[in-house]
Amino acid sequence: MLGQDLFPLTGPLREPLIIIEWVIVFLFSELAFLLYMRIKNKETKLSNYIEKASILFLLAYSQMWVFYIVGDYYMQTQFSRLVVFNIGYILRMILAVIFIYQIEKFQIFFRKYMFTIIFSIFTLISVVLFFTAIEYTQNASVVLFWIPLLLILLIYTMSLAKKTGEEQGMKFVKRKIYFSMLGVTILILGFGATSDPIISVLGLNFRIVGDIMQIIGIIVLSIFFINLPSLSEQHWKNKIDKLFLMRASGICIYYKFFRDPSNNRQEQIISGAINTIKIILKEISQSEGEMVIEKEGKVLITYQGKYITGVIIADQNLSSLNFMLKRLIEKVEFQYSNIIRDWDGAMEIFLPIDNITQEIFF
Amino acid sequence: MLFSLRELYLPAMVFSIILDYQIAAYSFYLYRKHRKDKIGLNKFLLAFSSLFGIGATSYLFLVISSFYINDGYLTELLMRIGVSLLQSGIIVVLLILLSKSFLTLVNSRFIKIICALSGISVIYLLFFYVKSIGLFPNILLGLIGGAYILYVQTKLAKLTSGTVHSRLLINLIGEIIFITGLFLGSGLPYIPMLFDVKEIFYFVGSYVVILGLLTIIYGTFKFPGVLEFNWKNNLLKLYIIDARNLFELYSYDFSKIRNFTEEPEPHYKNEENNLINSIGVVGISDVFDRITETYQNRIKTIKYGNFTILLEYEEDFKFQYLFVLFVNENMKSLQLFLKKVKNQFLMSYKSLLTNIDIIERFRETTFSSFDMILHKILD
Repeated sequence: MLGQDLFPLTGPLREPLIIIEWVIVFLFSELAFLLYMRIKNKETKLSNYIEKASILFLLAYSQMWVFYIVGDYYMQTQFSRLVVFNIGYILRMILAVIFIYQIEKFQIFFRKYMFTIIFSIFTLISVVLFFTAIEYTQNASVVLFWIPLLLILLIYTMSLAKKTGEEQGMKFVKRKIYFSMLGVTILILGFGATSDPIISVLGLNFRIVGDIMQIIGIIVLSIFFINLPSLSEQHWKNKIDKLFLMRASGICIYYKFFRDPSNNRQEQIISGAINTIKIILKEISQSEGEMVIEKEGKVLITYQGKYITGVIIADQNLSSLNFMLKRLIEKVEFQYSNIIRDWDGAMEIFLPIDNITQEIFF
Repeated sequence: MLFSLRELYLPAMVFSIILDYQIAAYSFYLYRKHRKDKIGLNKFLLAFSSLFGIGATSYLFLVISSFYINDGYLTELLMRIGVSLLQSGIIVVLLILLSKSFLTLVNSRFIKIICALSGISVIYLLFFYVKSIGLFPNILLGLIGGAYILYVQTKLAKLTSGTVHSRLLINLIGEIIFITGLFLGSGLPYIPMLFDVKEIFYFVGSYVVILGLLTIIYGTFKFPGVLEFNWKNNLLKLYIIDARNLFELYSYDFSKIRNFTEEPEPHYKNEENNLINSIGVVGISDVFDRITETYQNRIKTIKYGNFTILLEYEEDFKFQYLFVLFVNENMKSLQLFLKKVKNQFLMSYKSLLTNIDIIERFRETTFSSFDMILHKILD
């Protein structure tokens, strides 16, 4: 632990440090506020739990810094400083438990709620240490808080990046996730630079460097959070119901029922009905166009290729579904371009489309 | 415990400056995003951006001069530059309000007078400052200019509906809180009787300013798009249909209320008595319900090519009357408009709608009076 003679921090650097560190608190709170505004009107779905978890992380970091400011600038004795820090640690641990719980609601790591249970135990240990051996809590927080938190963040980020793989056309999301990791890394390095062991070696000037790095980290994270498309785009598999590929005449050449694959649901009647809707709209508009019909809880989207129309019926209109449908049509038309033009009506020839569907949708 | 109010209000002041610049940058980004749509009222976002960007710089000068400079002359100089910048920001906004799109909302002569007088007061402050007169002319003209900007914003808010309206109101509330904070933190401390407690006013004022700015951010964040100001130009045609008996009760072509020479070709078949537009939509709704095997909710939007069809049903699930609106582009304001049309229609013809015989015999003329009600809703 850093020599108590340095605390509370005084001297010419006190005021600039206080200003910068309060600005860090405000910026994290502001980012949490902006993220909250982004998700507040959305349904409470699993996909929003991640964003809610991020709000908790930001608030935990912000409140942690409030306690560090009070402890470093206003506490006269080592004991009072430790007490203030420990109140902050415990509050931070509680918020971290809720944060990890929200993540594990969405994602299972090895076992359901494993990290939540581990963190809850660590929180209890922190409380016990607070009352019995307060002088060890600062070092213990590295083992009880930082290492497990970084571990879970790393595992979660890697699994999220893996999920949004290239074949699903979400490369941009993957890039953004790596960008967010950069932000978190800068943040952690900046925080580390303000820690007691570093300052005791490198001096108080280095604390300013650490603070500036944390501000850069917040800016990087802000860019990530604000530009990230809705995480509900990750869950298109739960949203997609039916897929049809039709010729201009309305004949269904391929279909897939994602929810009930075994049941024969008269695909030719459905595709004929869809084609009827298209004809009515074409009659109204006197032109061709993409069709999107929406009601609460159901949407029908189409993509018109040169010879084939693709139709998806889903629970929600997602950009990822539109993208995948377009890719499917392009791939099918590429493979079947010569066959479709002179098609004799034999349906078996389109059976291999299932492989293309597997490639794109699974 | 070492404690100083300065260590609480200075960070808040710095953060307010950061928030001001954020609002300025974000408003400018929204202005650029919608610029290609060539909607004049979009310049409101440019005005907002200028005010906060220049205002933030002004605040920076004032904070530095008040809290970091010990030299009397330099303090006064920076303070004069700061106040000049703030007044210049107000002048820029007033000049933007002189553009064609706002002419119906503003008194251009009044604005020109205020801008001219403010310009003179800025020159006075920078080059001909007299201690005995002080900042009085600048503060007075700044207050008049600022109050007028708030007044115009109130008028703009009245022009809009739905989300845009509520967001503009939230912005207004935020601005009033912000100005209150500025007054508390920058005005009151200089009253001789309150000089001894000025630190408390700085503290309270700085946090009230932050509250005001956060309210403005809440109002500006994901602003629904200044396109919403232009929603009436997106209206194409309205149909009111008896969905049970499959006949059209009423239709209205919105091109009548616009200049025909400016009107591009509609993206749909706009012939008189073309029943496919109205009855066809009923069919689409029924077929879609059967395809998706969902009967609880009804279709709300159909987007096809370059136009969109909005649908609104009676509250009663066994609905009979369907309200169909053809538009260029879907907007919240249009959905609200259609809801208003539905409520007005059902209310106005409540007793008539129960007499199906009369409707069937006289449907060509029965609902023609709805034109007047429709014009009222549009106004």
